[in-house]
Amino acid sequence: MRVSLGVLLLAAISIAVLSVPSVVWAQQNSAASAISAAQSKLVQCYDAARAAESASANISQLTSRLNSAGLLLSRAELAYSNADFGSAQSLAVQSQSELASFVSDANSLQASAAQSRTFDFLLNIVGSVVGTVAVLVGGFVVWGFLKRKYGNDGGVQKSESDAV
Amino acid sequence: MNLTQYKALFIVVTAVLALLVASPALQRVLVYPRTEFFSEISLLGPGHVAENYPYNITSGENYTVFLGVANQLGACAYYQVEVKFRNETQSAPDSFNRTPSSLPSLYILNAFVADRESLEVPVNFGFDYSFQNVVRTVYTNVTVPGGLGQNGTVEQRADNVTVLQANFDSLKFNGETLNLQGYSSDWNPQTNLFYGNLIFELWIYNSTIGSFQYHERFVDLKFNMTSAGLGGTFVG
Repeated sequence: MRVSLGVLLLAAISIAVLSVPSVVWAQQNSAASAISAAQSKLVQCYDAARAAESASANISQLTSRLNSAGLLLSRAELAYSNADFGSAQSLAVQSQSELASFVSDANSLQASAAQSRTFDFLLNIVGSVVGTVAVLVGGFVVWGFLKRKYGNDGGVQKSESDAV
Repeated sequence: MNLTQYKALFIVVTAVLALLVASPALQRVLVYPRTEFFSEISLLGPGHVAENYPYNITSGENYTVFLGVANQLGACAYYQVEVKFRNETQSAPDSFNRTPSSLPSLYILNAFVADRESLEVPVNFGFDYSFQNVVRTVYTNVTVPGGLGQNGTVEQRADNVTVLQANFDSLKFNGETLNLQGYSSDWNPQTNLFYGNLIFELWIYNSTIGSFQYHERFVDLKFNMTSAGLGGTFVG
């Protein structure tokens, strides 16, 4: 009875001792994959922000969110290098959640920027070119009208003076 | 009324009016294209100006500087600022060869900056270190006189000398504790200081290769790690 208790105790201690590295290893693994996922998310969101910026969108708010997520990722990487895998995983997850709905926000910002760019193009470029042509044509028309009106009057005055 | 004498006036008025109406389009067409694309990294002192940078460092004290990153690349950029620390003998970034320090980074700061924008990050830091005497072997060349009619020979002599060394424990950086164990700085009798060098290297994300590349820019702070705890004997 005493022998079997001793064996059981020994087995329990062995299992506990042997399971510690595997728990740590599992924690390390999940922290590493969380950090890797956060890095990928950051790059994906950065690409979305770049696309929005190329459509002339104001991306100040987007970069601010990216910087917040980047700071969390930096802290996660530091915690990982200090073997604090629990904190590393938590910070990496926080970094990802900071960027939830980021891509859709960037896309809608891009769409509205593209829309206002079209409006701006229509108003400033097309409107301006059409307006310029209208001013020039209008000038010719007004000149022709004035010429017809006052040019003829001048002619009348001339013929009157000739008669005198 | 003679219309021809108003012809020039009419043309000028019409042309000015046309230019006014065309100005929004001209504004977009007549823009001088950007030819220089670059990034900037800068450090400002505690008063937001380029002076009063921390130099004489005391263990346990906190210092503040401002790190700035500006983007003139034509598009939003993803930067990383790698924070490194070195003593006089360790690898430094090279402005001439445009290479980074080979030391491992203690901390990586992610920074996203839109085109024509800049980002300023306050950096609060402080060092924890202590001093100890270490024995160093110093090699000197000694001329040994030869015998009669013979030239002297130069021999190398090894002497063990005791020098004071600053041993670093940690660097507090924006509330994070960075491990500096294994880092040390020997007392330099020529310069009268325990040299320390905090480096901020700028790296940039390259979307084509999907990784970061050294952006050939860095800023650094040079320190004298003072030994206030030792009575100020070695304060530079």
